[in-house]
Amino acid sequence: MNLSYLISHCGDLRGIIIIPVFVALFVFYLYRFLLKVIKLQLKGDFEWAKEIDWMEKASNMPPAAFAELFDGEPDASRQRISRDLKLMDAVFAMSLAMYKRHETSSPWSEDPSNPDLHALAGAKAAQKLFHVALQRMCTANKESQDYFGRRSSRPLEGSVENTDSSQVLELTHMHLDYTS
Amino acid sequence: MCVSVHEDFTAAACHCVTVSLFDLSAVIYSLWHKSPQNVDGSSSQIYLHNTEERRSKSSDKIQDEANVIPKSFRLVFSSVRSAQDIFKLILVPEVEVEGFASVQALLKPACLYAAEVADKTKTLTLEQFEDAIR
Repeated sequence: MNLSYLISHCGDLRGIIIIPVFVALFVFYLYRFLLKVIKLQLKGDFEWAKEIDWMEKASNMPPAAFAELFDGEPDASRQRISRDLKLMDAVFAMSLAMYKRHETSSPWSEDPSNPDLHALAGAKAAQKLFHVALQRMCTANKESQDYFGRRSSRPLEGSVENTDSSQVLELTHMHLDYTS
Repeated sequence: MCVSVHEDFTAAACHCVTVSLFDLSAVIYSLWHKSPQNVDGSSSQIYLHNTEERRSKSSDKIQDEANVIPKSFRLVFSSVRSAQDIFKLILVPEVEVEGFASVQALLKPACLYAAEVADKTKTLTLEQFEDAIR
């Protein structure tokens, strides 16, 4: 299936998201990727049941209860590698990406007038998994916690934004929208 | 990837030598063991930096991808520390090699997703994302 053609004519990721099969595939790959990131931060050979519908769980469970599903002993060595090789930064940038694409319309808002309310439901649920991944990179690791607290997210190349902003502030800003 | 080595750490106009990635370990080994000294015999601490200069892009790579994922860096050993450009040299025990490989494998799809999705002018195809995750 040549999705490139279709997507290039949509011109916007919203074009993909309104088509359920593409949404499901996209979210499937995204969730599979994030599970790999989380698994990497834990000691032991972690495996979660393949039949788990992570999107359903992420949508319906409170954040803390959802995060508990991924409890495990942190692997400090791999947490350090993830920090030093900037995987933590990349995952944080991923977590903001969809929001930045739709920032003007407050995409996470539960307001019924939000045009992205239904189209971005999968991406919104994925935010919980992004946050779990970031948590697991920092769990019981003060260096990683300090690193995350110090970091600023850089504007993307070609972005209209010219200033760096604190990652913590970016998260706060997004959460305020998330809970509004 | 290529590496530029400042041969004379005290000279204002440094002469640079470009070596291949395969020579990087030899360069580091050499610098480590020779204890680079200034003209007056004193020692200098040197730092491995990214100069933000890139080598020419491969002609078979599409322009968009080249902008998203840095394919190569020009590195330089310098006596002047620049925190934002510094590279860490990490001694890697064998048990951590697998961890490095795993993290590196995840970096490409993460960078691809972050850059393509955040930029309204770009589209990320499922094929690209799936290929990157594999």
